[in-house]
This record gives sequence, structure tokens and C-alpha cells, in this order.
Amino acid sequence: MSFHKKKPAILLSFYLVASIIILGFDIDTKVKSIKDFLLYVIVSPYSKMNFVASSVKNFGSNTRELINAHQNLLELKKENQQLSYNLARLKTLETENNRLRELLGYKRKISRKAVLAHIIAKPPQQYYKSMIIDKGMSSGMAAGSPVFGIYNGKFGIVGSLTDVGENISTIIVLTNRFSNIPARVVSNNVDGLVVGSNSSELEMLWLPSDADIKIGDEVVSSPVSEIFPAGAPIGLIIAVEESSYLPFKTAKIKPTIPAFQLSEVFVE
Amino acid sequence: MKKILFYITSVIIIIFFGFSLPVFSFFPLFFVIFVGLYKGSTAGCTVGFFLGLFNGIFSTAMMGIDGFTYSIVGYLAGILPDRIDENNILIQIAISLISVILVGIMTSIIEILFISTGNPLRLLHFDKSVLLTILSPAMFFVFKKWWKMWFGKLITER
Repeated sequence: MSFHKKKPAILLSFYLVASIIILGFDIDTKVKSIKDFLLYVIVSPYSKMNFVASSVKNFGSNTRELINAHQNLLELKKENQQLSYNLARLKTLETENNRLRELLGYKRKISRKAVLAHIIAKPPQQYYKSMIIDKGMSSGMAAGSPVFGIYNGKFGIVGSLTDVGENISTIIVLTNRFSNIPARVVSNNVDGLVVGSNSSELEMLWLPSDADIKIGDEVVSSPVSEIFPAGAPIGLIIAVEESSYLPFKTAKIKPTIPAFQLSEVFVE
Repeated sequence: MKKILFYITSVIIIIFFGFSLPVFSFFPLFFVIFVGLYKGSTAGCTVGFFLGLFNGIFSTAMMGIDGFTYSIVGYLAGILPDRIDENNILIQIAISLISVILVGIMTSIIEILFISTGNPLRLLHFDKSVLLTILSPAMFFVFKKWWKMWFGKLITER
């Protein structure tokens, strides 16, 4: 290095003057863009290296946190599943509780002797024909006993018992083709016979042709019925068919109680 | 030629370290003192000027201030009497401390004169970073090793 070894004071003076010129002419602002560029060139790789170094340094703790987070996630998922199950169970219980409260209220109204029975089987092919309940002779059931139900807050006839075992019984529902009940149209006290059709509808036969029957009239059990108490709801008239050659007409009835949607019934 | 290469390499490394940790904030100044102490005032003020100039470029500090102050420090370190033992740790610490204070005072004065934002209180106040001067012997040790790595031996030319 070929410095002026014998005249360092002159050299220093030169440097000081150069520094003052740099300061005095405000070169700093003039070369700001160059400075920024150089800073970027120097600082960027450094910051990236620093980032890599800190990442490597934190690798262990990051991995540990990741594993912990994963375990927490699994536990939360499990807890969530349990809570979902509990929620569904509570909703079911709430629904059942409301239904049983409603049934209890109706039971107090209709008869003290009525027995609450659970429907334990509803074979799909028997939807409009029969159902099986969990009560039998041991609970005082007898063949021919009337069966009632409650649906959407409405009380009505479901059918009657046929086969009664020790602990189970079969209900023949109103819509069964072999079911028939003496019935009455409430609006004009016209009697007829309600029979099943193995479908969701009932038919009311033997209505006088001159009877004033309208759609929407309510049909209830007739006082002449030996099984059902008088006035028990059966359904609403939805259509009337008149015959040109017979002195009777027929009405289609929508049952008050869709039997296959029930869970419990009352047996008197 | 080899010396020029040595100084350029050293300046680059020192400026790079200046970014990394606060403990290296006095790295450039200590290197200037080291060069002044061992290689004389000519080398000290020259290295001080260029190192200060580059330090101004590669930092947010105003260009020219460090060149001015470092060249003075390098020059002063180089004209210290021969009887002062540059290998004595306490001497190294004392020279470093005086240099840090001197640079602080000169910087404040220059800032007041040229950019009017200098803090006059700085003349009387030095923060705890001054305590880093106790690390100067360790840094001088590193600089010596660095020099010997290039040239084999270190002969004082002050």
C-alpha cells in the first residue's frame, strides 16, 4: 500500500477536506438512490440469511408446536364428535319429552284406564295395514280394544287390536281394507261406514245421496259403534263421489291420525 | 497489492458484521484504532476515511461524518508515542474508550454544524454501549489473528 508515509498530516488534511466537501455539498441526498440500492443489495441477502438462521434455530420448537397443535386438533375433533352426538341425543330426548308430555295431557282427558303403548314395529309393506305395540295381555290388553293416537296436537282413532299376545299386540289400522267403523259426519249427523283402502285415504260408504256433505266436514265415530266411543275423530272429507244409479254416495276421507308416523298409541 | 486486498476484504467483512449485532457496532472503529496502533497514522487515517465513507454508504448515517471522525481517530492512534504498549489490554481499552467518546463528540459537533439536528447533550451523554469498549481487547485479538492469517506476522510500524 503506497501511502505517503512521511506526510500523514497532509493525507489526513486531504481526507478531512474530502469529508467536509461530502458533508457540505450534501452528497448524501444526491446519492440517496445509490445508497438505497447498495443497502438493498447488502441487507436483502443478510435478512434472508437471518431469516433462514432463525428458521433453523426455531425448527425444533416449531415442530414441537406443530405436533402439539395436531394433537389438540385431534382432541378437539373427538370432543366435537362427542358434543354433536350429545346434542343430537338431547334433541331426540327433548322431542320425546314434549311428545310424552302431550300424550300424558291427553291421557288424563280421555280415560283413566287408557294404557300408553309404544309401537315397536311398523313393517314397510304394512304401513296402511297393521302395527305392533309393546303391550299385551299382561298389560290388560284384549282383542277388539280401540286404539287412539295424537298427531300434531290432534287426537283421533288409529284402529283396534286384533292379535293380542302376552307382551305384544297387533293393531289393525283404519286404513286396512278389512277395517270398518260406523261413523258420522258432524255437520249434519249423517251416518255411514268408514272402511280402509290400503292407502293413505279412507272411504265413507252408504251416505244418503241427498245428504248435504261438503269437503272439509269432520267425520267422527258413530254412537252405534260397539268398539269406539261416540265422537272420536276419524278424519276430514276431502272428496265426495255421487252415483247416478244408486241412492247413496261415497266420500273420501283423510285420516286425522297418520298411523305410520306415530311412536306411541293409547289403548283403552 | 496484498495489503490493499486485505484492507478491502476487511472493510467488507466489518461492514457486513456491522449489520448483524449491536455488539459489532464499534467493530469499524476498533479496526481503525487497530490499524492506527499497529500500522501507523498514514494507514490509520486512510483506512479510517474509507471505512467511514463506506460505513456511511451502507448505513443510514449521513455520508462523510464517519469518514471525518474515523480518519482523525486512525491518525491519532498512529501518532501515539512508542512507549505506549499497544498489546496491553488496559491500554487497548483506554484508547478504545477515549476514541468512542471522541467520535461521539465530533459527530455531535458535525451534526450541529452541517445538518442542525445534532443533540448538544450528546457531548455529555454516552449510553451503555460505551461499555462495549471492554470487548476491544478481544476484537484486537481477532484482528491480529486475521492479519497473521494473511501476512504470517504482525510488526508494529507506528
